[in-house]
Amino acid sequence: MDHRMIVQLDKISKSYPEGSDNKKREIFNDLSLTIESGQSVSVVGPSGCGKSTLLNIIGTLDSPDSGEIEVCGSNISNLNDKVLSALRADKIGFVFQSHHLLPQISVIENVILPNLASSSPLEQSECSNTAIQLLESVGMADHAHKMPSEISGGEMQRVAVVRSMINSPELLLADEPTGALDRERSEELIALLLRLCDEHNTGLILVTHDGKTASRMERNLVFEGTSIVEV
Amino acid sequence: MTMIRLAFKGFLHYWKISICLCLGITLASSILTGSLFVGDSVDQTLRNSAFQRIGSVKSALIAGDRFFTSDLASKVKQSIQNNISTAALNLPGILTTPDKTKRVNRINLYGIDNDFWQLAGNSNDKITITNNKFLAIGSALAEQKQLQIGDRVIIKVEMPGHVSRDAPLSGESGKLAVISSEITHIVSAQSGGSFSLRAEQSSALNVFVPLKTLQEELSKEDRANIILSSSSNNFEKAVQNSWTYRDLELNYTSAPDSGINFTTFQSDRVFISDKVESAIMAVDNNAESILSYLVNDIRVENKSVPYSVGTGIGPQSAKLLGIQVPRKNEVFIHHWLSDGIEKGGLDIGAGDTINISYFSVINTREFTNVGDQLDENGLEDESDKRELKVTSIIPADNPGLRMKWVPEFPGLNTAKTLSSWESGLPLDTKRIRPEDEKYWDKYRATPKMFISIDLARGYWGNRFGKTTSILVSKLNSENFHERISPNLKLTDLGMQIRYPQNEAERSVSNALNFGSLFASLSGFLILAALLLSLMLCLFAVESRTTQLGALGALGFTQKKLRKLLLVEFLISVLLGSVLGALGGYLYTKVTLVALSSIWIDAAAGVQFVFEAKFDSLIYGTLGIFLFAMIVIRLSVNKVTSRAPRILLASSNGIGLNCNAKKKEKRRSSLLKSTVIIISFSLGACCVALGYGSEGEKLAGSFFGAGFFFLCGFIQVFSYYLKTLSIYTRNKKSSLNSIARRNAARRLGRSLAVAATVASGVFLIISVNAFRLSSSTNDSSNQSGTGGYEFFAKSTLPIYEDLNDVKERDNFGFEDYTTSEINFVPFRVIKDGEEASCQNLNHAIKPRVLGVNPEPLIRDKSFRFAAVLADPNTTQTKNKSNWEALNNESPQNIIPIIGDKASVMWAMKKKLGDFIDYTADNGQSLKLQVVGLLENSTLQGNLVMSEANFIKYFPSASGYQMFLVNSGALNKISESKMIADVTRALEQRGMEFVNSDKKLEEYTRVQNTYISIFSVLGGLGLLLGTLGVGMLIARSVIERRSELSIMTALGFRRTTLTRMLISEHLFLVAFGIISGILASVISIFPNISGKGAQFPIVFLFGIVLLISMGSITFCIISARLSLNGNLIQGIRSE
Repeated sequence: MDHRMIVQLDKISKSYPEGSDNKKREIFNDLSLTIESGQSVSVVGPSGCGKSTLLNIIGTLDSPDSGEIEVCGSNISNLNDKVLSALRADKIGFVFQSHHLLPQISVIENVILPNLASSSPLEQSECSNTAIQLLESVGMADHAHKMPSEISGGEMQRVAVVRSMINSPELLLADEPTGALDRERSEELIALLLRLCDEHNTGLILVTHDGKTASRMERNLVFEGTSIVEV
Repeated sequence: MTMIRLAFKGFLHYWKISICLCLGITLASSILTGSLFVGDSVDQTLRNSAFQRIGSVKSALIAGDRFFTSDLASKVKQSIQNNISTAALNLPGILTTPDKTKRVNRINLYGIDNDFWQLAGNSNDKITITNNKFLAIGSALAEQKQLQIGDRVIIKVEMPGHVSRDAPLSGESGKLAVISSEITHIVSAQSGGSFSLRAEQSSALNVFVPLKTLQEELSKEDRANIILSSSSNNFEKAVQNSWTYRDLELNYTSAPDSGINFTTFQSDRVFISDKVESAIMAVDNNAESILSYLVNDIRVENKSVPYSVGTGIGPQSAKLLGIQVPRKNEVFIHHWLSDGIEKGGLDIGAGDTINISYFSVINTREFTNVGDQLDENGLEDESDKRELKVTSIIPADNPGLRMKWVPEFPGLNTAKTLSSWESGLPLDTKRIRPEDEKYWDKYRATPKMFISIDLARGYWGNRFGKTTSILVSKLNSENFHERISPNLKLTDLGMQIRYPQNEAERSVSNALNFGSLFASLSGFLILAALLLSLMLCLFAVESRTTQLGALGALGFTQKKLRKLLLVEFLISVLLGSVLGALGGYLYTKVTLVALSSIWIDAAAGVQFVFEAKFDSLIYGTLGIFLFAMIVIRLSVNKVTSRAPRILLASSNGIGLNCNAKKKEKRRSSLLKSTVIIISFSLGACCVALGYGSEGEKLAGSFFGAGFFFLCGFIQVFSYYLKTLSIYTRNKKSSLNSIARRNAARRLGRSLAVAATVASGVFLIISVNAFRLSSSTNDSSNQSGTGGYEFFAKSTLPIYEDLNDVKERDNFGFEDYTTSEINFVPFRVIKDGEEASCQNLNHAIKPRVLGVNPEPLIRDKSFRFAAVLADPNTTQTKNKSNWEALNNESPQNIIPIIGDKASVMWAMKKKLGDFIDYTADNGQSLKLQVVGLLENSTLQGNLVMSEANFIKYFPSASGYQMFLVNSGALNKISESKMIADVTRALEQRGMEFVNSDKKLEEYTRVQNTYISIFSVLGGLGLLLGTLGVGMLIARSVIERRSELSIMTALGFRRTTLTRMLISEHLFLVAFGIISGILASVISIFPNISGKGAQFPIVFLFGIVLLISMGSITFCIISARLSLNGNLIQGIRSE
């Protein structure tokens, strides 16, 4: 297995303005972290502690106030929107609490959507084949041509997971992906995530407030104040 | 999956938004395209009308008050290949029926031949004149007066004189030629029945008779005053090459058998024009001028001889008479004068002194007796003396005496006796003795005295001429044209060569641009439609922020996201723009119907044809398309420029602004207050500037004040909303206060709604305040009527002073004194066109009037919008603006005063500008606008001083327009008086119109435009209130969870509906109030006695309409939006 570093955070700090009198709330301070490819990592903490913020920073959706970040071999500190978008399109996958499927296109079209954003998109047919295979692997191949409004919430979330894998990302970021699902569906989804990441040697960082889900990851990081502790 | 496919799928999925956007764009595009189509339709209608009016006439020679030979047309025809040229006579006339039940005071009488129909008509239905009983009328006249073939009509025209009736010795005025005949044909407009060379869209009322018939009736055998031709090339050259001396109304006299080389050219017009004289002198260095005139008296002591002819001569003439050249104050007398008193003479000889007196022209047929040694009051005046010393007596057998020294004065040939000679001068026939009649019998008009030509010109020269004959030696009837034409053109004598087709094109092309006008009037409606659809578009974008954020997280760049949305909206906008073409067609059709019915006053009664040009289609659709796409692009940019994280964190656009970094610091309260104070201060300054100002300055101050006040009010409202959003302990927590605080949450949106409503209300109310008063209460001198109760026009010129008791007696209304009815007469140029809002065509030759401004100066008549300051004098406050007509001006620059509406709109000029014009003698003039009247009965005309008018347009004799003061005690006696005077002046085609009614005709046009704006603007405002309803819908979507919580807490749906309505009506109410306040404050300077009226009823109506519209849309939207299970909204919490 490839143990290459896919995420390297070096003394990053982040704070947000609070109130109307220029006060700032520190989210984390001098945080350092490394994650290898293929590793599954959970990030746990109370609400508002900065879990999603950390995920957004790693996923290039946000930037730290200070420190260095390297994701998938690229130092993302001063990159422009175009380069960051390409990074997200080609190397990072996202799964959110809400599936965010586009209601106007079918399941398979949602899955292959990231291909439109890719800097080196696959041929339509090749991409479609890949999408079908991925959908098959999650038992959704029969629903490929249905519209999102025709499938259940759990099924939509599975499609969102498949979508995040279509470009074979090196890193998958999941922000409370089971937040809207019941216990049974949640377990299924987590198992799916772990299997797909394992199959594709994709690193997984999963934000959750559920201890049981966190325990299924290889590494567990817990927010304590403005720092992270690995348990 | 491609970006295009994704966009198209989005277009289909969000079909409601797509349809609404498409509809909004369709509406805006329809209105803009439709407005431009209206312009095209008006343009084409005027074009059709203009070219139908002139048929295939490409060039024309118009003689003015002259008459050339009808043979000139034949020569022109022969000299140009493949053309039709025809001569005609054209005069204004009066038409009545024998039973007097039908009367038309202004018809155009044409004497024509068969060639005329080929030129004037476009249809194949050719009319043929078969006999002299032919009498055709145009279909417009037939329709107007319900005349049919077989009806008998009586046509009266003024007998044309040889010379202007203002001139001395021009003969009697008021003689009419009468044609009574049955109508044999009714001629359609297509066949030439509405033929006219004047650029006016109202159909000319024409009557056609055979040319020969009219020539005979007018005693103008072989004469014409128009040539019409189908050729434009070489026409002028052909005319110039073809005329002879006869066309200049000259006649050639020689006396070859007498042994005396007496060869002269004399004029049928009595006086030879200066231009002809100069041209003759230039080629014949022996040519010599002669001036003959009527001398009232030749006196010696207490003896006098009445009504003799005196002649001014030069050396050649003296030689012919065998006398010395008369020196200054010398006179050679006919032997008859030297005879004894018993024979009628004065018993004088060489060395004796005589005194003469004669009539001198002051004004229109107003003469003063010069040399009678009496002043105007009849008292002795020694300075008024014309004394001559007799040098010698010309013997009776002098052959020179038998020469033709005197031209054919009108009436001279036909006068059997001296007493019966209708000279046009006020002769006292009682003074004529039998001896004088004997002289007449024997010698006719042979001069009794000869003086030097220079002295004669000093005595008898006048504006009509200073030469009655020219003695020539090198010129004759054969070589006249050849020798003279290089130095003389017909246009030098006041004749005009015109190119009707070019003029028609110009009059249409330069006419009021109806397309732009209508687009402007529809501007608010177009804007409202666009804003509505673009607001929908923005809501659509905002509602997909999380979707956009997800796409951004997936790696879509901001550029790709923008492209995706733009392509999606592009489909709607493109479709809407194209559908706008069809909508434009419908809009145009409806508008044209409206212009022919409820808005008929704006269109001067024209029936329009539909026309749509490709250009207009492109401008209309493309304009809206581009504007919409630009605004959409800006909206899309606003959203997509946010980071994906922010888009993801927002929920259907909620929180989009909260999470955004505040790049600007909040303005301090002090700064906000300062802005408010500055806005109101500037507004107040503008109001102050508006007081006492007129025209553009008033308009500028008005809109400036409105803008600043609106800004101030919006700032105040913004401040108020912000204070609402800050909780204080003292604040009462009620549903209404919650509603108001909700309004503060999306401050920009709330202010946009309030500002839109406020702007719309401000515009509509304010524009309506400029609605002109057509009230009949204002009869002051400073009003639009100038204080004159009536406005009168006559078809035939009136030469007499209608304020003179004797003339009133002659006409038959001597019972009325000048305090009961008083006239201010205006001279009117021939063939001038009305340049007012009632003539949609551009006037090529605007109507010019000449007036003695003294009565207007004295009474300070009319209200002036602006006056050009005379740099040569200091304008004092009490000085009347009419004195500007007497301003000293450089040569060929003539000060004129016109109505502001005519000058600005119809002629597209402003104060101080120059208008090119041509004098009767072909001289180029520049009429300078020195004064603008405010909404007056003189609209459509340009007024100059009578002195200038007479100088430059001497051919327009007499008066044809009058301002009339009535001093009648009551309406009944006034009506009777007017009826009596109308009857008395019936033969001249006099017609009185109540000045208020006349003014109303003009104000109706402007008020109709304001009504159109109000209707369209009101629709726009209504559309704006529809936007408020959409805001509610949007608000409910954004706050669904919050409303769900309130439902869960026990608030009923009706309560929530009330809260939503209250929240949005609060914005509308503020908009209405601030719009009303801003307009009231801004228009105050205008409504204080300037002829504008404050539209209180309209104000009430518009407020009611907007309020009702807002409430309706709010209720519908709130109810629809709150439908469904609100509790679902909290399931996501």
